[in-house]
Amino acid sequence: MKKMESRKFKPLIAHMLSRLLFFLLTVWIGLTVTFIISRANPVDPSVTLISRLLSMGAHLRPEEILAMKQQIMELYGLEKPPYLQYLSFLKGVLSGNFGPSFTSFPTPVIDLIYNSLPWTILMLGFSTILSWVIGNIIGVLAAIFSKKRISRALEWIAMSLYPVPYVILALLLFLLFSLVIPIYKGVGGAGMTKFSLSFSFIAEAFKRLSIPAISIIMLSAASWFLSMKALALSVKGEDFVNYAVIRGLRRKTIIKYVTRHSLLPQITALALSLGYIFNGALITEHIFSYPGLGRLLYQAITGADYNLMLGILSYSIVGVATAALILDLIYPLIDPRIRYGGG
Amino acid sequence: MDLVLRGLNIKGGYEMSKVYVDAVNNVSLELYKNEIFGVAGESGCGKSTLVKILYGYIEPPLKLKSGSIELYSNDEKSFMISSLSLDDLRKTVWWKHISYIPQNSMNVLNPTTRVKDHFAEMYKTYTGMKKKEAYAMARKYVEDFGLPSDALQAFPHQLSGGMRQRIVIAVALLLQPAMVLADEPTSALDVINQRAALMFLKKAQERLKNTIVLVSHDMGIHSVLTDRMGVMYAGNIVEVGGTQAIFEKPLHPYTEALIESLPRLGDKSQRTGLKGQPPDLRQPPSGCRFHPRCPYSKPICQKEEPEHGKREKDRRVSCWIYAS
Amino acid sequence: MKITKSLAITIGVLAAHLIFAYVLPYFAPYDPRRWATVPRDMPPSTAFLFGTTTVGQDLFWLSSYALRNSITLGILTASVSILIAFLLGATAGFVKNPALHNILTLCIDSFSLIPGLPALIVLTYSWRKYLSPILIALILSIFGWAWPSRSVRSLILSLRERPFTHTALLSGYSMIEIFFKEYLPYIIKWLAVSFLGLLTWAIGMETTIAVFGLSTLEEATIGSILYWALQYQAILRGIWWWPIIPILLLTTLIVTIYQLSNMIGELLGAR
Repeated sequence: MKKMESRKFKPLIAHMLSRLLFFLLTVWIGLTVTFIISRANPVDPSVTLISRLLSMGAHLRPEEILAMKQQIMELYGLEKPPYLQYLSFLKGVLSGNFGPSFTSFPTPVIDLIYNSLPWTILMLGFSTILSWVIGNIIGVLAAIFSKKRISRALEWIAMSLYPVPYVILALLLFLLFSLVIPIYKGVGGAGMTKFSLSFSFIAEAFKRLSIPAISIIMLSAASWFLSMKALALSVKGEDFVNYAVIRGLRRKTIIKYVTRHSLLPQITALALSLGYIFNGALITEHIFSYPGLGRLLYQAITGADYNLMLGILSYSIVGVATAALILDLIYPLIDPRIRYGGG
Repeated sequence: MDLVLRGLNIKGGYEMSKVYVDAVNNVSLELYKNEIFGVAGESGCGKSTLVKILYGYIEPPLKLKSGSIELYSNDEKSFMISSLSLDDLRKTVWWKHISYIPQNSMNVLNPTTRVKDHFAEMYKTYTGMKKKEAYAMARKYVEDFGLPSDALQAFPHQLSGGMRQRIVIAVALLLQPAMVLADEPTSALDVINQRAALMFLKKAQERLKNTIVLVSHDMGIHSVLTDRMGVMYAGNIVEVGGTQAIFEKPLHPYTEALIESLPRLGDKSQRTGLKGQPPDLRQPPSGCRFHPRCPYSKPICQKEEPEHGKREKDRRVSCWIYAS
Repeated sequence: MKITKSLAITIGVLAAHLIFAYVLPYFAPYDPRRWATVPRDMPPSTAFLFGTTTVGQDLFWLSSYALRNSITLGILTASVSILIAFLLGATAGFVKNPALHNILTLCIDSFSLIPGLPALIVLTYSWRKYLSPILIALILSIFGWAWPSRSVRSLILSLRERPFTHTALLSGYSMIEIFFKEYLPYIIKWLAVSFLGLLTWAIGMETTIAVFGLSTLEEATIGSILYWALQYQAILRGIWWWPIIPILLLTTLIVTIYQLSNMIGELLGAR
């Protein structure tokens, strides 16, 4: 016993350090892959940009085109050898300075990102937390009352909803609410880009948010429901739950036991699914013209705005990894087996 | 001797959609104050099912077909366990008058709560005590029990198997019930820890003078620990009697085979086991369920079930050999 | 009994899709991708079972082509991803050198954390001039392998901790023998289930990038039909069948494959 007391916090510190190290390495690998992907372009970006300008009706003489090409190459640092480009990209990530945007020249990329970021965080935060909570609550209840008809009906619905690609569901909801039941009118990219906390803003935001959020919540709640139900069913059969029943503990206590144990893996799963949630944001924002990071990224990609593109991708990787890290660091607080090692 | 529990003609088993597993067939038994009663038999003979039924923990697919179980508490009240609902059992009988040590009991503690919470939960559920008071009570209780009070602060996985085992025993005795059902409590432990845990249980019993039903497949444990015992085969109790008497002179052919198979000091002859397999309880054999394996089988054994007849003082056997 | 009945239904629905996708294109009376081969905007009728599009394509034959391409693309992606997943996951699960093990694990874990879709969009956009179903399948595979690889690794790590492994090792079997005799049959069951998962993922992903206008829009896939239907405002103009038919085909196909993978998982006890 004495030995245990003195050693008990070491596993916790080891856990935290390893998570932190893992976080840094993951971010680094993610950024590197992003950089490689952005340079794995068979077409010279400056050519793309110039041809875009020309197609917009600009008349340029050959020497002007050449000068412009030079300018663009310098602006993006493309004339430097790749390893220097890579280093300045990493420097940009650390300092938050990705240079100016091309499509909205000369606004710095970072300003564009800061304008869109709150929208994405608002919708993702809202829909992720809500669907996780809803899915887990219904999942646990369905497992505890697994013999009830409603529990099986819910599982059937979730099983048919879960495999449907999100883009299809989002499209169907969009078509339904913009054309068939037109309550989603007037929701476009127009206006509403300043983020504030006034009542009219919140009302407007809620209106814009509700349908895209519902599309996310439907699908991801279905998936949380399915995994929670499976987990809770297996926890229900474990010895310690059976012992709690034998000991005559109240039903409330037993539900608490089952919930707590099935939630542990669900927290890890949430951390791991954050990347996929960001994918979802891209689709949602594209289909519903929601003014967040996803739509900005799409504009950056189609506008060949490399600084903006790299900026948003780096931000999303750091963001996703940070959220996962926070969940990882919280985890030992709820699972003593990790807090004190062994087990 | 004072009667603590009387079970009469208990029949029960597992009712699935297509099959019925006839796990306990017509068992009657009487248990007395201040004794350790052993239940022996091979795995799958219905020992655990019998204990569950005695506890009244009957949830589908387990079903009690017929029979009655009556418990007499220390304060001389009586409870008809077989006719109370799970909720009533929880509220009036369990843990106050009868408690349970489950199989694999070193691994039944909740891995995410501290040991002290296991005690506190019981106080809170059964006596309505507040949390702080419950912790204090738990501390005192554990110290009186001779367990290190440090263990209370630990999470289960930080303790050794033997320690967890003792905790579960202490939890079972917490409210000083008239009777404790222990279902293979030590089968997951190594021999040394097993002995320590069983001695711990026996000492507690000697102090509290309550009744313990000890289920074990290990005849060695019965010979050391139990005062009386019942031998189960294929859902029947085939022989009941004082442990010493049974070991000295087993009456039923199955008991005889069980004891015959035990190694003895200095005896180097080959041990002969029983031929054949225990029967499939979905389709138990007709008549005496032991007849396909019995060396003394007679024609009547295949046709009719033998009566659970009294042979000597405190001795009952179900076998046609002894029928007059 | 119940399982076999619903299994029969599932296989029946899947077979219908496969016949529609792989047999019917041989009977197409004309190249269904060509424009103006049939009257425009005809609703479903006996003449045009699934109706026609605004650019004059017969949706029945077009979606048969499209389904074939989508499924083929999915199978290709799933095969490549599973191969990478198995090789890397198994190596990570077996390798003795802790440094190598950590590097592989890190690689697998960070790939499963990367938001795949943005990277996918960047890649398909940069290569949009060269896109073909095969190239799309290869690009998709870059992001498809990480999750199954993770599972292969943990599967092997947990198998290695099982008592039977220690027993086998102590009785003189080599790790390679144990791998082929004991692990492989188990892992293959699991791979079959995750192959089906990757298949649906790839088909859905192709549809997703097509909705962004980044798939092979000249080639018929479920995604590209959907893209053009959206471009031509089909729903707004009341041509509902144009987007709805591919959506229905895709949804029934994917839900069926998912059900099938669940049943296989249950039958093989791989879950």
